[in-house]
Amino acid sequence: MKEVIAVRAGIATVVLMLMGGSVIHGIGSQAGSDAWLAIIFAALFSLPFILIYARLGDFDPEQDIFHTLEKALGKPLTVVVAIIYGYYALLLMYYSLDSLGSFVTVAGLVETPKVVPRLALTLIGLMAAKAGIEVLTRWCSLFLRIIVLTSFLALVLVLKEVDFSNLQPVLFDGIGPVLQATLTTMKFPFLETVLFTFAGAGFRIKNGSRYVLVRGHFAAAALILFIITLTVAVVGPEIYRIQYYPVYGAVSRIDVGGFFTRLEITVTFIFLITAFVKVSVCQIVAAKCFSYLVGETDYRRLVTPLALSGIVGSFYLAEGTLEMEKRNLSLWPPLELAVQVILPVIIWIIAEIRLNKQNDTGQKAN
Amino acid sequence: MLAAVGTMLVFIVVGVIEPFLWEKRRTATVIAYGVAMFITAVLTALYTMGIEPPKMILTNFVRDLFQKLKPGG
Repeated sequence: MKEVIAVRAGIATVVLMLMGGSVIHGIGSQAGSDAWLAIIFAALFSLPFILIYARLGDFDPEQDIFHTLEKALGKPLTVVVAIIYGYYALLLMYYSLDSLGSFVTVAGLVETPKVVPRLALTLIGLMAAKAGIEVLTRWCSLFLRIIVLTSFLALVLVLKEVDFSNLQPVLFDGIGPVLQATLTTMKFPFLETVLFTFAGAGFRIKNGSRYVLVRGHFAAAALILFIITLTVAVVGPEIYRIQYYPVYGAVSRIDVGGFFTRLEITVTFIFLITAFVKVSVCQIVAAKCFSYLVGETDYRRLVTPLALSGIVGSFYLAEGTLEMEKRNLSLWPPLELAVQVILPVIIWIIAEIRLNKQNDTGQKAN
Repeated sequence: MLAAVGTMLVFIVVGVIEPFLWEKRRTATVIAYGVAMFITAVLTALYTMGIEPPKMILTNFVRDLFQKLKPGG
């Protein structure tokens, strides 16, 4: 049986999860001043895939997605899919932890051992994952308001620095960089929503997955668009391209009368909250997938070892910020392409054919 | 070395206590939990000693496998 969550709480979780990491890195930086255009394109081009993820979640609203997969693909293939998505969830958790660890080291706590921020985030993520997706989503619905308010406060104060000529001329370098930035922005963060389908949450309304994923997707896209566009307008396309954390750089320029300064703490706060949500969702999904493999109904039991693997796992992935940046700007590595695009489409087509056939047979028998 | 021993001890304590707190224990779940905890504990202890597993080991293995399997390779 699924854990049932409120629609608003689900939307808030999707928004915070998608913002995790993406608001701090300069997403779509290949496009430079046209990053806003790349984000809009990415949000629109991602929509068909989001609808596919939602459809997979809505096939059987009473049961989790593995039940749907078993009916559509059979048990052996569902096991393979669970392994792939479990691995992907773990990998994404490691990347998020690594991203946070690198950011904390670069942004302020230079002398702090790298393991400290990762350990802290792993443990609070573990506590949230143990509490379950219901508690996490309720927490998200509360904190989304705080995040939105904080973003607006920081970016209203930075308005003095905004120079919209930094966004012009539009398409100066042609459509190529924009399309490249669109594809990387689809991969990170928009299509990471696929994990939410595997979090196994049920909703209180019919077609709840579609409602939550689509609205969450567009709300996140709007927030990211707002933040990134203002950042490019403040720092300019060249700085936006070369800085690892351009949003942090933009907000650090806030100086109201020499009194209101050092407000980059707001960016750190936003990043911490959103990274926490992302890590928790990844832990839940990984635990769900691996619990399915051993036939365990309570996924919370496997959360601890999987979450703790993040402390050491995050060190094995990337040597530092440069490697992290390279990964963010890479154009769909094979694993991401498979889990975000190829597998969902194949599963959806098979599920539509097989489950509709099963329904027809059932109706005829009645 | 001391840090590695400490890490292992923490993992062992957590790994032993937690399954005892479960109301029902299935053999498969306990084994999966134990194996995952053991791997995580060993890797973390190695890391505290400054030993990182070679990152490219899996990538190289897969690449070599492809090279061996490709026609005429």
